[in-house]
Parts: sequence; structure tokens; C-alpha cells
Amino acid sequence: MEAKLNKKIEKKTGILSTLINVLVPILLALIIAIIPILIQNENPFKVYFYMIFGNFTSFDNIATLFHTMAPLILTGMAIGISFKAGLFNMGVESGVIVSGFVTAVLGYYLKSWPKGVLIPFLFLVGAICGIIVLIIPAILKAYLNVNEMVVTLLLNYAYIDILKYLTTYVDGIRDKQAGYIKTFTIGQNASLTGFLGSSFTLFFFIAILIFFILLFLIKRTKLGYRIDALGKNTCYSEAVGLNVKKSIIGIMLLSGAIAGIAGAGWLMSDKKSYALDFSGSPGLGWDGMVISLLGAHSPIGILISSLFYGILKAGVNYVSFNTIVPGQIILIIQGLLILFLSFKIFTNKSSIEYIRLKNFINKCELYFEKKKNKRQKIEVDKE
Amino acid sequence: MFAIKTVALTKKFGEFIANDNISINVEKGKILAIVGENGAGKTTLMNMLYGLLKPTSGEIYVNDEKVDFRSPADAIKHGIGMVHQHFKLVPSLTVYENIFLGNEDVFELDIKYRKDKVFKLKTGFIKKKEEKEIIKNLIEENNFNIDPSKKVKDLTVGAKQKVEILKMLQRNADILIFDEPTAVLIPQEIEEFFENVKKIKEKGKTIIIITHKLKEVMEISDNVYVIKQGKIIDYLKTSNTSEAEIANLMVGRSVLLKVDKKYRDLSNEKVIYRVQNLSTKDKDGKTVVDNVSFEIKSGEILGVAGVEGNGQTPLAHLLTGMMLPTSGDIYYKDQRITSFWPKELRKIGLGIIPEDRYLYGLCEEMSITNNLIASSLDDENICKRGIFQTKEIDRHCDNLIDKYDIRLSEKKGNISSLSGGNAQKIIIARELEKRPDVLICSQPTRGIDIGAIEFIHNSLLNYSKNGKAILLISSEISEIMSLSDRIIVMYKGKIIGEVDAKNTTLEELGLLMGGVGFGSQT
Repeated sequence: MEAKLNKKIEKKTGILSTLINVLVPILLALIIAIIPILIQNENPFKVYFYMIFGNFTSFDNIATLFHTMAPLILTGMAIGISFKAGLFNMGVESGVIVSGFVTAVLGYYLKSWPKGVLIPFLFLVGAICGIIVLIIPAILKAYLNVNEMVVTLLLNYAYIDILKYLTTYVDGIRDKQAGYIKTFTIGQNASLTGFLGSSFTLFFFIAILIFFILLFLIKRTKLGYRIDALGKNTCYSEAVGLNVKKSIIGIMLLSGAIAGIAGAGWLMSDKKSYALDFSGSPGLGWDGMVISLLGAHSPIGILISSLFYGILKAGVNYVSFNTIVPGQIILIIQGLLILFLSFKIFTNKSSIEYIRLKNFINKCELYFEKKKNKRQKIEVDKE
Repeated sequence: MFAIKTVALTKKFGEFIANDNISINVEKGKILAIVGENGAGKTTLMNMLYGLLKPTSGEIYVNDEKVDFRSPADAIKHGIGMVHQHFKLVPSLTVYENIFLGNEDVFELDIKYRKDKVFKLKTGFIKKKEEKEIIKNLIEENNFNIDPSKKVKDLTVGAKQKVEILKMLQRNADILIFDEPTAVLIPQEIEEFFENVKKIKEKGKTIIIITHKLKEVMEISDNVYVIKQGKIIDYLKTSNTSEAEIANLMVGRSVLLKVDKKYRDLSNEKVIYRVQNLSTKDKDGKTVVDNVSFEIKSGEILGVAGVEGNGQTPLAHLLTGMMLPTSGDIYYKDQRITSFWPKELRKIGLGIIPEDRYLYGLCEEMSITNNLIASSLDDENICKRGIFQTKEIDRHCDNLIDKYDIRLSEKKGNISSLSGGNAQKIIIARELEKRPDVLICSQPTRGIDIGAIEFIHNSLLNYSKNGKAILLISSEISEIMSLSDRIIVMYKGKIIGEVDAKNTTLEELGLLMGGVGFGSQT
């Protein structure tokens, strides 16, 4: 009886602490973001109203929301699997932009290929690009134990500038007729078009499909086991005979491949050509990091938080349309989110806060029990 | 008058009683040795005397004055100094800076106010010259032969210990406590250390040494307390006792757990696992495994005994592929397997039960099922083309949980929901189920309940009956004695002796563990 009650309390505490861990940073970020809104002399409730409910006012808006979500799910998962394995891979952003660039170039030159061949081919190329981008940090980390965070972070800037050079100065890549620096627009056969005239494309389904494949990989395969074991206890992984080097490389490259698919898909479904602001600011890779942190690196958590983040990101358009607050407000919210997500109230099950929460729930449980007993007693007395 | 007197000192950690009613008297100006096995409670006692731990009950008197230490600072004020086993020094600072750390001699500004009153304002500037001079004199006084302006990171281990001693002397400690002072020293340094200690004693200081090395006890101490399982067993005058007597008292005649070991004739069995002249160094370049050779036959259990910290852990790491040897070789069925990865070792047929259960053996935050299948991921039945066969895995795990009597509160739970004994059974189940020909087993029953110990002992015995070889590394002597066919004893990284388990006595083993070598030398 007591064990059952304990288990119940344990479970409740677990759920509540996770909720608090996620919701408190979100609320804090939204509350502090009120300050710049007030400075603009705008009603913050109006802003948040449009940001959230603007997404659901029409079919088109909902379609846009899903369309915005697609790359976020992928980059969130790309970050999620590597963080889960204890690899702080910052290279998702470079995976996205490199694959986006290559897709743009190939999508223009191979536009004569039939659509059914070209699009899968471009996705494949995108994945390979992501893998290539991450192969250097993966090898450095696995064989020389070079800090993957530093390498991937710095390589991001290298890739950004290389792509900037290629797009700006190389003939045959830059579309000189355009008013700004960008590549040629991809052909019709390389383009993912929206259903029913909305911006909702096949890319969303591909993202969801990949999400479920990853879910299966994590839950049911040896690779998932490697990710889990590596993130939770490296010594154990090594001692029970998992090849840690192979695991590190495998996980990094998988993360790169997902990032690559995200970049390719985003180009084919939304941007259609590579410009310098292809990935947005901050880029899709960084969005993925917020999403993964919000979702505590668990697949379902990532799916939910990419919906939340998608709502913010797509909702910003309705904010700038209906109020005087510019869309850049999302940058402030994102920055605050990262800041507040970086600390956790309940770090683990042995932390004082967690135990306090447990005691509190225990007390509540006892209180309700007492009340129930009293009521029953009264009823019995009445009878 | 005693330098330190304790009356019925007791320390409990939860249910566990680390020190039970300990009353000791430390005579002034003498060297007192406190001996006992690992976990006997020596360090707990000293930590209470030094103010690091608060006693649960009991009293401490220093020079007949009742004290209540809240921190080491209080103890230092009463003239008690402690040199820890692991030195507490800042490597990047010089010798004198380390000694004065936290206690710096700084320039003071006199601020006069209200005519004759003076306020001394401490500045942040340290009187380096004066400090250096003081330490130089102190070093000369004690003949320590170290350079006060050298950085600590450039010193040898012996010199670092001297710095620790100087630190205590500089703070005018009258009572010095040494926790395993010779554990990290090389033989020459030990000699020097003894001379220094004797010199300090001549100055009228009281010294307490915690150790388990009997030779050193005999050489240096005036009196000995023997402590076992948190209780004082005996108080002896060193001149009236012998190493053998202390060894006997220290190890004690603890009741052996009931296991039914049947000794078999192994002379016709083949040697299956062989280690030849294996040596390795630790991170600091100290040789921790020194020219170790042994062989195991099929069906044999070879026990590796020894006081903890005498090279058993690095040896186990070497044999299980977690550490690389500097020289020497390991052979399995005549195949050279030196420097193999754990993965490769498991593939050719070795089972590994690691010492650190929760670091190398299990992943606490993973489920019981996942831990049970960890070493069978290459098994077709369990993981076909990289995809887990859930049904088969469930069946396999239920089977193991049943067979090895693993008691769980919930099947889907994590390892962290299990008791130590059941967690260890998970490892045993996982490793034995692979049917390895050689099992390398470190401290298989440390810190677990009697029931689980008995179960594991019987599992190991039954397993060896099928002609499998087991290397059993343990610091539990009773465990080694009741399970092994042959016992080798490690001391300072070397094999100091080998005895036949059937005919040996606790006394003989105790002496070997204390570094007194006889029996058939290898």
C-alpha cells in the first residue's frame, strides 16, 4: 500500500518537475519580452494574442505553421540525438546551409531531370552534404578527443564565409540579374509546391516520416542504445564493449545527415534559391537547439516544442502585420529562452528542490486523504 | 595528562556504525599507530579528531580540555594538524606560498584615530620576503632539504609530504595526524619520512599514524591501537608485540560465510589464461603494477588478495582492456591479447565483472532490461541487423531475473531503483550468461547484503565447476579464502607471495598483506 503510494508520488513529482523545468523558462522569457513591447508603446497582450492565435485563423495560416515546423523538427532532432549522446554538436547550422547551397546549385543545373528523380536525389545530396560537414569534427572528437563544441562552432563561421564567397564571386552560381546576392532559382522540377495553393508541402510529411524513423532508431535499435549509453555513462559503454569511437562518429554523422535533409527541404519548399540569409537569423540550426533544450532532448518533447516554436516563429508575421511591433521580437524571445533554459530548477532526483517538491506533494496527498476520510466519516455519521 | 583522549566516541552514517564507542588515550610525546583493515573506521576516527566530521555521540578531550570541533580550523587552534593521504596543495604556487595559504603575512597600515587608538588595516600585499625567510629557517631547523621558492608541481611526492608537514609545524601543531603517510612514497622516501617523524617526536610533539603496513608499525610506533569494524580490539605496546600478533588481531577470525567449496585436483587441467611480467604506471608515472605474472587453469579460481590500493585496481583495468600496460603480455589459450579492447576481449570469450559497479558495470539511468542485454548486442536473437527483438529480449530478461533471483520493485524500472545486491546480480547474470571461459571478477560483493553475497559466491563456485577459470580480485579475505583454489597476494603492485587456499591460515595471509613476505615466493 505504502509502496504504491510512494510510486504514485514519485511519478507525480517527476511529471511536475519536468513541467516546471520547461514552463518556467518559457513564462520568464515571455514576461521579460514585455519590456521591449511596452517601450514600443504597444499592448503586450495584443502582441501575444496575435503571435499565438494568429496561426489558427485560417487554413492558410495553419498550413504556414506546419510548413514552418518542418525544418524545426529535423534540426531539433539533429541536435537532440547528439546532445542525448553527450556530444555538444553545434554543426547543425553549417549542415543546413551547406546542403541548402548545394541543393540550390544542383536544383538549377539539373532542372531537366524528372521531378520524381530529382527531388529524392536532392534530398540524398543534402544528407551527404550534412555528413561531409560533420566528418571532420567527428573524427577529431573520436580519435583525438578534440572538443567537438569548439570545432563545430568555429567551422560554422568558416562555412558561412566559404558560401558567401561562392555565392558572391563565382560565375555560374550567382544570379546576377537579382537585386541582391543569391544563386539562380531552382527549376520547377526541383521545387516542392504547396497543396491547394498554400505553403504546406511534401516536406512536412518527409520531416514527420524522418521523425518516426528516428523515434524507432532511438527506442528499438542498437544505434539508439549506443546513443543512450554514451550520453549516460561513457565508461559503461566502453566497458560493456560498445565501440565508443564508432558510436561518436555514427551519431555525429547521423546528426549531420538530418541537418542536411532539413537544409535541402527548406530550400526546395521555401527559399528556392540560396541567399545569404537562407537559414534566417538566428539560423535553423540554432532554432533546433532551443527546441531540443525545450524538449529535454526526448523525441516527443522535441515534436511538441517544435510546434510551440513554430507557433512563435510563424506567429511573428501576424504580429508585425497587426501591431507596430516588428517581427524581430522573436529574436529577443529566443535569446531569453536560451538564457533561461540553461538553468534548471530540478537538476536531478537527489537535488534539494526535487525532494522539497516531493515532500510538498506528499503533504498534499496526505491532506486530501484526510479530507476524504473526514467526509466519509461524516457520511457514515449521517447514516 | 593525555594529548588526546576520547570517551565513547561513536559515529553513525545512517544505519551504518563507522565508529562504535571508541575510547582511546594518546600519550604525549609518543608515536601512536592506529591499524586496521580497509573500512575498519580509522579514517573516520581521525576525521572526527580533526573536526572534519562531527561525532554522533561521545566526547573528545585535548590536553584535558573538552573540545567541540566545528571545523578543522578549530582543531588547528587546539594544536592538531593532519596530513591527508592525498595532499591538499596548490601545484602552481611555491612551497612557502602553499604553507602560508589562507594565513598570509600581509602588510598592515596603522591608522590612528582618537589620539592613541590604532586601527590596523590589512592590505592585500603579502610580505613575501619575510614569509620566505620564516620558511627557510623552518626547513633548516628540520633538515628537510627543500627549496622554499620552488613550485609544488615540480616537487617529488616525498617533498610534497614534507611541505604538508611544514604547514602543520608552521601553524604550531603539537599533535600531528598522518593518514596512510607511506602509501604514496617510494622506499627511500619512506626511510627519510621515518627519520623526520622521529625528529619531530624528539621536539616533544605527539604523532598519530594511521596505517595498515605492519612493518612500519613495528619500526616507528610506541603504542598500537588495533581497530576492526569500528571497534577498538586491543591496545598494545609495540615493544611487547609482534607483527604476527597484530596481523591476527587486525584480520580477526571473522565468521566465514557458509559456502561449500570442494577442492578438486587441477593438475591435469590446461592453463587457459596467462599473464607474463605485466607492468604499468599511473598518471603520475608511479609504477602501480610491477612485473606481475600468474596463470589460471580451467576450473580454477585464483584469488588476488591484498590491502586495497596495492595495485589490484590497475591490474583489473589492465586485464579488462581499460588501461594499457607498459610492458608484459597477456595470453588467452595461447593467443596474445595484450591491449585488446573490452569489446574484443568479450568476443574471444572473457567475462568482466568490474570493480566499480555503477561506473563500468551498469548504467544507472538505463532500464534493467537494457543493462541485462548490454553484452549480447551482437547476438542474432537479441539484435537482428541492428533492430532489437523486443519479444525475445523480454523473454531473455525474465529468464535471467528468475534464474538469478533478482528482486525488483518494477520491471520497467531503472537500475537506480535496485539495491546494491540486486544491481550486482544484474552484472553477474549478464556476464555468466555469456558463458565466458575466463571470468575476471573484481570485488564482486563489496557493500552488498549477506544474502546476495551468498548467492553470488555460490554462483561463482558453480560456474567454475563447469571447467571455467575465474580470477577473483577482492580485498575481503574471507571471500578469497572460501572461494579460491590458489591465492596470490599483492603488495605495492608486486605479487609478494602465493599460497594454497586449502592449507593457508588467516595469519599467513595477514602477514603477506602487511608486506611481510614468506610462504612460497613467486
